[in-house]
Amino acid sequence: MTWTDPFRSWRSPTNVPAAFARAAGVLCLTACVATGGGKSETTPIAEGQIVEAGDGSVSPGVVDVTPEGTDSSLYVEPLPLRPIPADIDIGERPSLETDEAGLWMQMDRAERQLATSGKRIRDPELESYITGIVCDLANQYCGDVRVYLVRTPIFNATMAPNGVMQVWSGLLLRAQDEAQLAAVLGHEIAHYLRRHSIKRFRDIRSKLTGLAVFRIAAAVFGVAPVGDVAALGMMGSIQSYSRDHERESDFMGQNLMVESGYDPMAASELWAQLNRERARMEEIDPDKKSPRSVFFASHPPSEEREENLRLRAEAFAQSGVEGRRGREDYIAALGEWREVFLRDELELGEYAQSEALLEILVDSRPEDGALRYFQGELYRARSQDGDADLALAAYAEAAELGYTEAGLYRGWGLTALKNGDNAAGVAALKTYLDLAPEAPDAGMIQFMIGSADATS
Amino acid sequence: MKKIVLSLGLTALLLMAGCAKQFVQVDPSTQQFGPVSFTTAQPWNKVDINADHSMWTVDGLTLNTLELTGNVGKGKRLFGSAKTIKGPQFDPSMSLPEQSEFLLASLRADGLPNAEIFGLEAFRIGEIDAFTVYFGGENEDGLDTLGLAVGFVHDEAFHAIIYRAASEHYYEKLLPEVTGIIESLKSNEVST
Ligand SMILES: [Zn+2]
Repeated sequence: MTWTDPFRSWRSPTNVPAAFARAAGVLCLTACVATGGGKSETTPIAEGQIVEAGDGSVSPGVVDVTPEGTDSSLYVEPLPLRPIPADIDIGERPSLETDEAGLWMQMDRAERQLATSGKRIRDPELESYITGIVCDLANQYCGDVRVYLVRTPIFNATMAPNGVMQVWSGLLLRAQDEAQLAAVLGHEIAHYLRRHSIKRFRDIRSKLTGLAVFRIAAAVFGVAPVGDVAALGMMGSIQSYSRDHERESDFMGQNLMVESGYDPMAASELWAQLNRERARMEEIDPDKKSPRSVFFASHPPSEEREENLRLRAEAFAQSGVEGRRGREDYIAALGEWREVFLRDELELGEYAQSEALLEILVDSRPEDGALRYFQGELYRARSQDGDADLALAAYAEAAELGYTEAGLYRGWGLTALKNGDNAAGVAALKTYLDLAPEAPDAGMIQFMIGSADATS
Repeated sequence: MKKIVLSLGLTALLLMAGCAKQFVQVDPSTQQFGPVSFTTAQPWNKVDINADHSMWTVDGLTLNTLELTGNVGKGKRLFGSAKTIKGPQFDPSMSLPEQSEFLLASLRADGLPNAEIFGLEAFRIGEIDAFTVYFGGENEDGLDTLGLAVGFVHDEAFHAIIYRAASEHYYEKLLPEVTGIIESLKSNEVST
């Protein structure tokens, strides 16, 4: 890897207003997703265009590095491209008389609930792997950010003002490598470093009164209830306050990726993948008969975001930055959890979404038998006309690719029985019991075998 | 009839249903549940969520709950619309093991995010094919929970009786009563 100071050749915009550092306000990925989205009105800024900062002040939006072969009149940095300084000291806690301190105390209490929640993934190895990435990205702020993995099959991550970061399993499932995960983690860390939450809280408080403030504050900061999908709706309803913060966190997060040696293009690719998932889902289910995922309904991913991050990554590449992806490390670190997350995704019952997601994952890892198995499970669960045949084909492909988990033969056998092929069904279920004689459903599977034998 | 203060979670559920419901005491008796009946041997406190859904408890809903939910038709969810992650939809073509998958996935969406099964068996209630499933996991507050459920399909609709309790003390405490309820299940249809 060649690593040079990625900012060396970039001209910082002059007089970045100090207020820019303070203006901004959100802290969760869903809100980031929301940025742009259905309301997107911005595209990468044209040369010479004036860029409005969070406080309404302006900076020139032009960068002085032009990739070779690129028309310099077209190539521009979408926002002032520069190192973005942290706005909080290492180990800092707000002084007690401030409103920020009150917010931190509430978040500290919520953290205690989060720590004991049944939704928390308590796996020291996985936690240590992801905390390691966070620490690397946060650098000297490592000790100020605490990571909690949450088993909720929705693409999301959140950052509370006291440094509590939630990483939801729907994100872990969708990220394809360590660099893509680092893009989101870096984004969340940026919210913390830029103190976005307190400004957002003040925005909310100025618009609402009483109980609503606490409910929405809790929702926005992603702390209560843990993994609560309803909270996403509330976040969505106020996401428009936070557009500048989201963009700033995207860019600062990408800077942190580069500083940690990750390929900054991964950030754009992740958003591209989410855009693709949404588009494919709508293609599969054009009548929108299947229930919309909360994520896609209220926080559509944004082409603007994908494009801005791509332009920045190309500029980084031009200044000599290369970075690692950590693809196999990432899959290895997820270990058995990946199949748990795939099962959770299917159990949402949002089959168009799951089908789109699985297609994308299979495209990316065509050699992966587990993914074919879960495609089979998807078709078996959806159970529409033709799905049994699709399921059987997927199970057969999984076996051909060397997937040997007992569950494959359970799904295969149940599908064959339903399809009227008792001989194949019984054979597959017997294989299941051979592979997993102690399975908790062995009694039920014996019953299914007996019933099929009796009717054939 | 004795009135009991609602627990927090149920209050929220009832508020969402747009009504104020109260618990009533049910003395030992034979009860109807859709196409079947069962017999209780001790007093319970019951609240009706709607015509097809009731919740029963002895020590409070957070400690032990017997939930009766029936008439879940094609495309419907086991626990209605009050939940954040809604869980899968029922399909009458589901085989018994698939019905148990549906139940377990619904439980995972309904406050037992890491529920796993410990045992799954087929049995019959008269002419009706049914299953029993033992399960456990931590609820969203981190409380270790154990459970036992019965499920079956009748007239293309799913019905379930689901017992959930804190694993410490409360699960064991009512297990004989719940086992008795399951053993007492009878189909209302006279076999021909
Ligand atoms: Zn964000």
